[in-house]
Amino acid sequence: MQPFYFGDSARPLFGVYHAPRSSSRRTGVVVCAPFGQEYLRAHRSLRELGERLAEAGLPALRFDYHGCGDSAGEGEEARWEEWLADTVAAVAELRESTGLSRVALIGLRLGGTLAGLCAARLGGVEALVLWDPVVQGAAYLRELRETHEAWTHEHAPGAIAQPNEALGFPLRDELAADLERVGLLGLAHGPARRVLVVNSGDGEGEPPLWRGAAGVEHQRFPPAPVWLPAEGMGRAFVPAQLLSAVTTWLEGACT
Amino acid sequence: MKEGALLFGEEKSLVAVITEPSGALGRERPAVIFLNAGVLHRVGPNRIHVRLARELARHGFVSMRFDFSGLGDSRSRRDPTPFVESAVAETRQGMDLLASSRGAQSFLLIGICSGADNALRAAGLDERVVGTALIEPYGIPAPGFLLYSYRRKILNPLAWWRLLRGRSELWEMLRERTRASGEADPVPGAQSVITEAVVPSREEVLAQLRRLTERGVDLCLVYSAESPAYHNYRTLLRREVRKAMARGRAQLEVITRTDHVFTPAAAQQRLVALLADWACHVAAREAL
Repeated sequence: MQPFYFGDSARPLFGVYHAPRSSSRRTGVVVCAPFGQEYLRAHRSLRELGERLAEAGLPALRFDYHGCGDSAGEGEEARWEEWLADTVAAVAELRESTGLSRVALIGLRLGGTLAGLCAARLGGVEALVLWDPVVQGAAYLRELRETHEAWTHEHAPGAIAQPNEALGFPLRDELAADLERVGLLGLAHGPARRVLVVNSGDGEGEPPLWRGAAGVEHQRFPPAPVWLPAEGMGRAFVPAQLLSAVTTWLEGACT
Repeated sequence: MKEGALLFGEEKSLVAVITEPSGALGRERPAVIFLNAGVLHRVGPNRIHVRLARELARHGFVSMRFDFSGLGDSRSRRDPTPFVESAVAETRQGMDLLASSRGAQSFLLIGICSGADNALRAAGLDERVVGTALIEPYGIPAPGFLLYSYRRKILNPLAWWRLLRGRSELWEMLRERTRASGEADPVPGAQSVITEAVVPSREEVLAQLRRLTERGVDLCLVYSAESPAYHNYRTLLRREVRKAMARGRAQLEVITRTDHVFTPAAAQQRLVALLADWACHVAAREAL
């Protein structure tokens, strides 16, 4: 595992490269993280996923978007189009550093939305895994605000839940407006040669994505609290069965 | 301000990010090290470590945030060293790195929750530490701690609503316990790491505090007004800290309208500002 900064030196992105244990495969995988509190909670699971992919011979790159994690910028500066450009930059970085032209994308929650839209923008993506993706940004935004309000009420007595915050992370009007209009339903079909949609949430409220479309598979797993906000910081969970299934599927989908 | 990522430690397996001023290094200033809060990776709860590291760089400080082995991006250790020992050893290795690569001669340790417990341990063992910020140290169960912890929940209608709807943390914990192990495995080592880390005894904490105050180490204790940790402070630590306060070596900051991890932005801003002030204050004293 190698941590490094890449991309535009004026706004560098933090990445972690998981080198493959063998060099038999010709596809690299970019892992797209979720946003905010979900990013923190899911960090360990995505790290484990990167390790499993490397073990299976698939080079993997995890990275933080601008204004998130260890990347440059503050959360207040975050904008959707920049995050999408960051994802494209991560694909370019992986291609350049490995010499592989074939690429797959995995995204969790809002990272799923970014992975899907990035794949559609780039074209020619080998495989795409959408893990509990945010299908409709507007619904996600509503859920985020409701959860923030409930959390503040319960855990920070006397504090007022501000609309420009989301569970400890800035959510400026500009980003909120971006989220309001983004989603995956605008894509007519799966934006990669093969697509896996993984559902480990409660399944409420999200419309099915590209069901029945050629090259698109769906897998359901028991709910795993990978990104749920829980009290304190002493708990982190890795959904081993799900990670194993995703790795196996990608091994089959990527030559 | 510039940032760089690296691997360090005996096996070059600890992932770290160093943040430093873009101009000349403030070598006379202590270097700052952030320690993992619980099982959260080095960016800290709500990315507070990153925000604070950049604020400190604006004041001329070099800082490093890193993951203890087995946490965040750092690989687990291959040897059986208990976490409480390896955490201290790795913190000191971080100091060695900043000493050799950035010329740092003294250090400030900043820890939230279990990070505070580890900061206290490391500061007690390494005389290069001249100040330590203990933010919401959680681990010393004072009399009435459990009652205090749950009193607010019991009185909170939302907590009951969540419980009845099956969405509370309590249900989540119960579900996790009954789940097949392959479905939601705990992070290997992480749970035991934290269980170990949050339970220093009252005697241990008091002895460590005494050792630091006798050595003249500056202490900054920060609490959320409503938190059980603050209850612990008032019940167990106040008397010891007051002695250091009388000598101008300790300060207590209590932030209202927030939670254990400073979720509201206003609380984060307050935390970052007061820690930057504290670091500048300690640096000025050390420069004399």
